[in-house]
Amino acid sequence: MENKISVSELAEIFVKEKKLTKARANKFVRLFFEVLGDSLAREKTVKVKGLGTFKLIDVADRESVNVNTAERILIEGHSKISFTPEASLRDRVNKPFAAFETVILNEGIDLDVMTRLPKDEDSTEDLMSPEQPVVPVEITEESAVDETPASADSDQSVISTLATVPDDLAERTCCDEQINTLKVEEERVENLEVTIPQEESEQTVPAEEAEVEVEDKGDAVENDVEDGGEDAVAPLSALSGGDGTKLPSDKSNVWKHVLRACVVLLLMALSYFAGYYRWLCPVCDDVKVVQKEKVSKKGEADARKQESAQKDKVQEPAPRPRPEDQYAQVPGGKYLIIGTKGTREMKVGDTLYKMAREEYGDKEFAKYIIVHNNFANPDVIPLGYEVKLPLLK
Amino acid sequence: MTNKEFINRLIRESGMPSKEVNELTSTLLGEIEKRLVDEDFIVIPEFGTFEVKKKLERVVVNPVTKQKMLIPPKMVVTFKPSGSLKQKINA
Repeated sequence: MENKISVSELAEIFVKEKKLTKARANKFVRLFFEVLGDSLAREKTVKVKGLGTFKLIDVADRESVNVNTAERILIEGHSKISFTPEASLRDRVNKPFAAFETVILNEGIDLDVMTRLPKDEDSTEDLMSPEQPVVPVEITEESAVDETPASADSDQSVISTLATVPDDLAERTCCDEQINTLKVEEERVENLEVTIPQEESEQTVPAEEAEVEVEDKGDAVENDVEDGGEDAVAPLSALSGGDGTKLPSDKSNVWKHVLRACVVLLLMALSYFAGYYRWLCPVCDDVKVVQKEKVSKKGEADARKQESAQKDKVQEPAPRPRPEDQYAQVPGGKYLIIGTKGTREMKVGDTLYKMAREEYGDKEFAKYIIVHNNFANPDVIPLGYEVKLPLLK
Repeated sequence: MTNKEFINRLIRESGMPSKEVNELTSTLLGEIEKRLVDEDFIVIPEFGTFEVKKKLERVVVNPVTKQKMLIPPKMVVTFKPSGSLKQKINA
């Protein structure tokens, strides 16, 4: 493999196959190339069957400039050697790439498109966030956490809900502090959300169950409102319970609260489904991860994080499990291993490099084979071992 | 100079029977080919180096038709003459 082969190594084949002495074999190889060089000097072209054609090409005088001194110098005309390998040699050497053909490109194909694509995704992200200029600080988080509420529908109440958040954010250290603020319901809703995801994460809820969960949430909030309870977990235990017919302690506000809670829940459900079916945002996974980190930095953190974690959890079952996840991958590799395309038996003289070159066209691919077969010691592979060849993407 | 002329000259210079020279030549060239396929360098003093190089794919434009074409990657055998051979041919 990329060894330097000297004349004596070349001559070994004669010693092995033709039973020549080492000295004679060496002498023959040297003579061969000496004669070749002589003939070339004398005849200008030499054709050697099985190797190719050597040709002398005359180069005319030309002027050049000395890079160091900026002097003009004359390079005298001379001959240079061109070597054209014979077709059979050329084809054998090029065997790994023999399958490729020259492709005629159609008009208007922009070759930069490939490199530009990732940036485009970023720009869609940016487009999504500024849709709510009302809440400058929270915008990105909110829009990411709630998936696409603002674009899903332009209901004002969403914005007002969101608008309160930054104010609260500053003073918020624990949720109980806010009970006295105007937006009691929203807080409760949030509290609820905090606890619900926890439950879900324990159960690792698949999609359908999660839907049920949302409905339950609705009931739970109503319960919460009735009780006027400050503890959000309590209603959860009564989660299976009814639809808010009992009279709450703060009667005066209750219907207003219930109404509000319903609206908020409706919006939540809407945004949940919008996110779940990815109506508006085809590539949000990355966005969310980033947002999640951002959120966790801020004090309010936990609630939102879990909320988005919940969304993540619900969304993840939707895309099919990617095949590359099932296989060990080459760290930093250009390609992903997505399956096994076949096996090859280890024969005498086989190396993984050789295999990689024959199967993939480059010995660099050996590392994929090593990873795919999980070789403890890739230098020693027993004869007859069925090496699995990874299918790459 | 054709292959035949070259072999004849080799026979004359080596003083070996033509059959043997033919055999040895084909063995030698077969071995070189095999080594090249294995991507080895072949370094021959006073002559030069044979090496297999990988050429990357590239886009070319036909200057007449302006047709763009994608040339696939390929492996090519290259030969780099040694300094002494260059002197010899320019002498």
